[in-house]
Amino acid sequence: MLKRIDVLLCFGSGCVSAGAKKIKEELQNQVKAYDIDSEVNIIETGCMGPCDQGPLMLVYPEGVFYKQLKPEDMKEVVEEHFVKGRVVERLLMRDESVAAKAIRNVEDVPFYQNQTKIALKHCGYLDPESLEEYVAVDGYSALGKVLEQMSPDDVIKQIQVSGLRGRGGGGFPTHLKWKFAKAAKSDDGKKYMICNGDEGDPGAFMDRSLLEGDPHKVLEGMMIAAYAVGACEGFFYIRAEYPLAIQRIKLAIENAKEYGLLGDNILGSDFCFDVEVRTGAGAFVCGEETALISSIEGKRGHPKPKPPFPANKGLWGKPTNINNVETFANVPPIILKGGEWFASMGTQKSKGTKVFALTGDVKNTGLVEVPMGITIGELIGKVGGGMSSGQFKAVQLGGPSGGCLTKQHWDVPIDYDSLIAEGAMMGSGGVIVMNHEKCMVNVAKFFLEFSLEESCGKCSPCRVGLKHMHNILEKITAGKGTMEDITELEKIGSVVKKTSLCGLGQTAPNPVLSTLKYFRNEYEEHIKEKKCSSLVCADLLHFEINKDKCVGCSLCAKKCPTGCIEGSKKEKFTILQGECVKCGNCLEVCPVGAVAKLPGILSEDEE
Amino acid sequence: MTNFEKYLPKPENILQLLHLAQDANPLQYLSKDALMEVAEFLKMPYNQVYSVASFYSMFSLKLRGKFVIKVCLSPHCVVQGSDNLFDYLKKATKKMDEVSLEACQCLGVCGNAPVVLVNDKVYGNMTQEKLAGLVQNLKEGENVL
Amino acid sequence: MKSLADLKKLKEEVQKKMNLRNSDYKYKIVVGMGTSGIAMGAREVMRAFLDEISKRDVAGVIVTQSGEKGASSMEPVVDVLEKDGKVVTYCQMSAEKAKRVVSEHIVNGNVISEYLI
Repeated sequence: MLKRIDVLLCFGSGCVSAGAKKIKEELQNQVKAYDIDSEVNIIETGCMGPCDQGPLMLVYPEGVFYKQLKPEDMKEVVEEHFVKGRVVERLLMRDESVAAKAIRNVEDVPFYQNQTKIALKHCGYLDPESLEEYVAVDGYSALGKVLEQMSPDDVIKQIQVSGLRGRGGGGFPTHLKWKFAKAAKSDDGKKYMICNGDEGDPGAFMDRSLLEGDPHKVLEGMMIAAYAVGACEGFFYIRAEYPLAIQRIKLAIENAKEYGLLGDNILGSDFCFDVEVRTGAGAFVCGEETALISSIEGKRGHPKPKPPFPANKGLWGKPTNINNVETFANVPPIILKGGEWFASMGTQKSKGTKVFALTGDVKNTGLVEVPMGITIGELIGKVGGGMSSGQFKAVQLGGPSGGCLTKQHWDVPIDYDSLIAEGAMMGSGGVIVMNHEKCMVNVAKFFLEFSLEESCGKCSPCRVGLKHMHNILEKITAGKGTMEDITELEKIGSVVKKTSLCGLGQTAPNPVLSTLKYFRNEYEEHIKEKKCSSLVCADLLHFEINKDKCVGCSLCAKKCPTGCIEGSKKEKFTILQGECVKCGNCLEVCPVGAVAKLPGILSEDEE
Repeated sequence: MTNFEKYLPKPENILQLLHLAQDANPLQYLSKDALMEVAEFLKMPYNQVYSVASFYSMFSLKLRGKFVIKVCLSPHCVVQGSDNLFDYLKKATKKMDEVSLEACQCLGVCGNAPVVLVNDKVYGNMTQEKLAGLVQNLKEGENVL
Repeated sequence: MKSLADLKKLKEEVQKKMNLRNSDYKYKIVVGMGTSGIAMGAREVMRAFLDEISKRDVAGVIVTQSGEKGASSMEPVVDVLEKDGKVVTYCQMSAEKAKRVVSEHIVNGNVISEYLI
């Protein structure tokens, strides 16, 4: 029977982790209970974007967007909305700017309004497990166009006109990569095409969302690339931490094979292409292309020196082209609408749009796609909706290989070259917004810890240098640093950058170097004044009881694990600083708010 | 003996085989015997198999519990308090032989930080209360929240 | 799929099934489903529309629901919208009348004036 309602349920990993499966079960029960199950389509889609609002549901034809659903809400949604036609207002998004007005249509949600979606266009709109739905929105038409009307050189030319650059972080022009791989000679004619889905940057999840939400688009982009460079075999390399993405892409490949879109003589042409999925096993370094190749070959994921580049000598020594997931997702739209259309967006050297994973102390967190060249201020203030708490202090772009920028960079356009010039990096597009409560020395230490942990250990600058830098940061955050340490950090940092074998080491010092550049005063404060103004570094802060406020209830003394709080009802209580382990229990339990957390260390005589 | 037959005995398949072997073991680790099996199937020296298995963090060469809990300790999750959750779990699961607690890096569900993974199930927006419920369910043998 | 023509054929077929989402329709039938509408039989009217349109396999039509319209004595009320914004409102509908609306208005384009308000 004809359906009258399309219910799209976000089944991206975010919403699933927030309980989307239970929502679906209950929805199915309720629709049956009201005897309208034959009138309603329930469709699982990929990520809709605003992950912190999940689980999410989008109801068509009205385009009503429900957020933060609970299984017990389903009865009301079905009875009120589906049966009686009354939208359930309390589950709608609200527009904070207009007296918290409920938003009835998904198109009016502020989160989406400042976005331009190309790669993510159908993420959260299509059933990613249906090849047919993808075809309905022009899916595989770009491939058809390429096979019927364009030579490999025409394809490369269009990509060149579009100005597309690698979305994985490096920003290398895509058409050049393809050109090199096309020109490379292979002794037995074999060339390989690889899709890099080893997204490991903490805070970046656009590749996962694309693979989960629109797998056919990535596959189509990859096939067009394969046609352009003359590859007839391909591999998806996806990290094992993304089971849903692996499952969806495998299904997409299977369906494409059934429809004859993969295999020999695709759409009646001479083009033949076959593709397999390989999963990683938890090694960040495998996102680096030469390490990734080693991993596909079944070896330890060690990077190799370049040259030779994979374009000439890649997988099993054959010419190989590797592109990131998001890069491939941009290819079909470019082919359909033309390179000039894509190049009309963005800045002079960075064209098109970029997907960012917006997180941290910002109101709207989630996945956003914006034109290149949007300023940091616009991204945080407009798309992100401003700060969720506290004052803006810094923004970390590009994860462990990127850097921290400050208020002074509010007007810096986000594109590959401007960010590098400021000491940050596009990276894969992770954006962490931080408020005044974050300690930048600690943040730098944190990112360095990640790189240190993930360093494969093959080359010594990365293996030893990062460890040394980390030791110094530990010293500084413990209040034992000296001013020479700062110089030492800068010195080692620049050596590690220059001499490391692969991208991991070459960029790992960035978080430290950029914070040294823009937040040097914080390092100096940690060293000279033994103070952490953000109250993060435990060794550089102390707790104090205000005797005027203290009511002498002794709760703090009872909860103190080291018994370092003394006093009586009459005398009130005091903390013996020397024995305090800074657990913060006293602050938590004090019923009158007499305990304060303060920057700096109290010396014995001050007590 | 794990069923490797769906893969060809080619060295490139080693990661998939190791995944298979580890998943087949209720104790979720690669025993020496399992590594030997893979080596034999691939006609590859044992030390080479060991070298690959030890490189990747998802493979465990040590015995683990029926439930492997991984707490993401990447920046996003820590900012949202995952380090406290990790400490909490350390205490809460101390006497549970069926549980192995591990720290891990980003699972890519950052919009729902802090995130905890139990075997193949991801739990987002975690709090200590939710974890307490989860641990209780694990005690009863069920990986649900 | 062996050619571009096959791909296009598939595309057209699936697009028909997706018009709830892409709001690409020729006619949109909106059944008022407020409490009084339902009391007067709006559910049956809705069913009749869905059945009849599926039976006749008419393309480019979406059927949806709305809340109370505030004309209790006229219920069940049904709006037929055209893409260009033209609206026709039928009142005191029944399943039988719904079938006639499909055959005469939706299929042949003739408004049934005796059902109008």
